[in-house]
Amino acid sequence: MRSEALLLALACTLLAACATPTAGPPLIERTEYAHDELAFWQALEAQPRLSKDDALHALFLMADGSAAYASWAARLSEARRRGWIAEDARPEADEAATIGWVSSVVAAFLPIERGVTARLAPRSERYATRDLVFVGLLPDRSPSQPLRGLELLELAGRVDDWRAAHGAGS
Amino acid sequence: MSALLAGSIAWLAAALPVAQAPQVPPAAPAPVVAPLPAGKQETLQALVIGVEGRCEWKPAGAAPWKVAAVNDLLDPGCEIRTGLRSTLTLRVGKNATLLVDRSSRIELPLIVQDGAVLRTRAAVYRGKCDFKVEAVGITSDFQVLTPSATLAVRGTGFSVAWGGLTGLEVRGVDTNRIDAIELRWRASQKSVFLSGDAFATSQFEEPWVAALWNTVFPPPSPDRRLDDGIVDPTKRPPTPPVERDAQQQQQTNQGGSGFAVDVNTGRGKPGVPPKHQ
Repeated sequence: MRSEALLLALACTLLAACATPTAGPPLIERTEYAHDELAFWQALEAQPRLSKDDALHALFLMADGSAAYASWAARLSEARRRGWIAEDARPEADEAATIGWVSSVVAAFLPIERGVTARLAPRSERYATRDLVFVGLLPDRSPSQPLRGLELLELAGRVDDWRAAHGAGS
Repeated sequence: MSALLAGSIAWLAAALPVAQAPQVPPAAPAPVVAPLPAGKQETLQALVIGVEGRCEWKPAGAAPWKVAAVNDLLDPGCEIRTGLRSTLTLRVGKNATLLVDRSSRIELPLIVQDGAVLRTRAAVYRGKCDFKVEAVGITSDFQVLTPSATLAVRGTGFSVAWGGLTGLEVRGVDTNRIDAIELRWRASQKSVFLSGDAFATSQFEEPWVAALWNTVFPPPSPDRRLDDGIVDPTKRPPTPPVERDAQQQQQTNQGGSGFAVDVNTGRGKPGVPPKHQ
């Protein structure tokens, strides 16, 4: 009886560990943040985990300077059209964004010089993270680490600095 | 041969200008702030002198955020935030200039002159700020608070960045950038007086520069021929007086003797266009 309970507890632990971590409801679903860029950035400061919906909205702001997509579906569709996300990928809006996931998108829109392996596998989260570490946009991090709101804010600032240093057309 | 060489050296020596002592402009006097009587305190303010992109500020308390504009006056306790590709520059109190860079949020909890001490506190919650603090003859107590460290600035400056990835980062201040913003703001504050037919434009703020540009055209180029682009004046539509005067002025210039100098020989006849190969 005791060994059965132990096995059950072990199975539950394994299942929980294998599940995709969630970050809670995205901030961008709230109207006050969807229409106010600065309020959105400030609200991100307190996010211990960043949702993919919020991360994608922030990435559009970083890439274009504006983000006028009304829903997660619209953001996802536009990201697929730009080649930021693979066609067969099915991310969820409240799924926690990782360093690697965000790095692969940043490496897609920022014209950084990439390595040979990264060119062969352009959406590889591992090599995108390594490229961003190499150009100084990220400190040494693992691609599987979840990203906090404050960390994304600093990355956004560094991307801004990189663009300023490498010309406005970059 | 040696005579030729000596002659060349003598000619070169005569042709070279006499070395003059470099003219150094006199140094501007250092700014001095008069101390207040002991025990007296004066609350100071911050003045917005430059805005680029999306920048907002709000006074202490729960007031709504306002879009920042040049010449806004901020009281102590105000909070400032900037977006991507945005910067806000402030003159803080009597001796400091603060450049709030992209994606930053800061607060200025204290700006005060306390007797012979200028006390300023700036809290950087995230982002990057450049601080330039001048020595003004009295004690400066300027402190920068970040979530992980407190820094003091004494008569110089530095750039502070604080973020979730790397924490605190301190660098030297970009003085030239701040000086350029200060100069631009000072230039924008000048008064322009107009009278009679005088006018000023955004391109030429000074009326005399605008008038000069509209009456005296740029000097004719030796490469330009007289028949280049000349239109029969009888077939042109009537022009406003200012433009007509300008055209007359241009025609006068073209008929002058200066224009008729041949670019190859340096000689020519007045009123005759130069020869071109």
